[in-house]
Amino acid sequence: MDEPLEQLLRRAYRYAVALTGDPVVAEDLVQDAWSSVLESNGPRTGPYLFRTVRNAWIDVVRRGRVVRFEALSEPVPGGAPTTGEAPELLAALGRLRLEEREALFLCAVEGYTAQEVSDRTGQPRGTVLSLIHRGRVRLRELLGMDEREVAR
Amino acid sequence: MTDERVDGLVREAYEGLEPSPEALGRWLRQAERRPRRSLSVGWILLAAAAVLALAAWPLVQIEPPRRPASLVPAPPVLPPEPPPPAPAMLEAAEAERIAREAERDRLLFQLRSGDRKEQLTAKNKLQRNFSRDPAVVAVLGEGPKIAPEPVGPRAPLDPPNGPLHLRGLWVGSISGGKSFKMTVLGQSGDRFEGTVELQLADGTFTSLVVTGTTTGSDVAFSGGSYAFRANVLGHRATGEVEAPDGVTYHWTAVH
Repeated sequence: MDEPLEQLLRRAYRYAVALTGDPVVAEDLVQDAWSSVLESNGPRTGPYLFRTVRNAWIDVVRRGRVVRFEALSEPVPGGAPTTGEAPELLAALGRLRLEEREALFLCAVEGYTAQEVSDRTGQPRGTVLSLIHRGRVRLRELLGMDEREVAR
Repeated sequence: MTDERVDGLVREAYEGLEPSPEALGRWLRQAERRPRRSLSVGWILLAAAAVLALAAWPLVQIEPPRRPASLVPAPPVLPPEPPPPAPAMLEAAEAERIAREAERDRLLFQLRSGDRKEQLTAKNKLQRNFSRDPAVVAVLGEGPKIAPEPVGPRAPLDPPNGPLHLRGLWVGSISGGKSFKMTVLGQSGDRFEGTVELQLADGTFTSLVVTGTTTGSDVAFSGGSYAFRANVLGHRATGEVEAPDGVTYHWTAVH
């Protein structure tokens, strides 16, 4: 049974946010990727759409259409179409390196193992584990948590 | 434990993200406008037919329309195809090919760097055995030219103003169809000696030790009760032989 399209698109959007760090750019990215999938009549599945989103983001970065910038500590007013209840968390995530953010997203949100993340991103498994670890440490530092706080 | 808590926070942050309703609606409408292309029953049947056709291809034999038996010529009896060469035969053929190439290369080297006699030998062998080999054709077509045999008037056997030079082999015949062979083993001035092999009237051979002299162009030698006389002109000698029984035979020989 195929995943409902709406759910699939939401996941793709979150992944795009993890890649771009910007909800608005993420919408454009999903729009490009989704159009590409529909035009090529590709499978409407999570892995295929995620790969398409990732390739579209690589294209964007290569063409210089988006200048990578440091994420703002404060969310852009009206920038995020719909933000959750954790703007500080998103801001902290935006300060991570792209590779760390992507690995952490795929691991923590999508539930992929390190090997699966390695298969999807092309990074060695050891590198993926390192990225995830450093992302967690950095995120903890940015949120001002120590281990006791996190444990609590 | 700590990592799980951080992961939970990350999950919480991203799962709170939602695309704008406009964007989500637009994406869904796009998907509706481009319905997923699914395999229809027709495509499935067509694919199955293609698979079956491919699988049955070796069994399909297209026969030409048959003519009446009287018009159908008897099929030619073709010799059975030779069986595929066995691996051992292949190895033997390969070894033979390698040997031929080695011989060809040796002859080519000899043609390039040997003396004149070796060059001639190599050229003859190459033309005889490797006339269709491209490498040989290329070399013989534009290879080193072998110096031709110096062609000129053959040196006269008997230098002027001197005794006849008889040393060597003389081969000829005696009247009656018998053979004659003389080998002049040594010559000193106008005297010479050698051996003569004669075929007698009964077909047997006799061997004689002869000694003789030359006078101008005339030659006289004898041995074993046989007396020979001849006149030498160039490389040809013509004369008579008197047998022990007194019968005289005509003989001729060339040097």
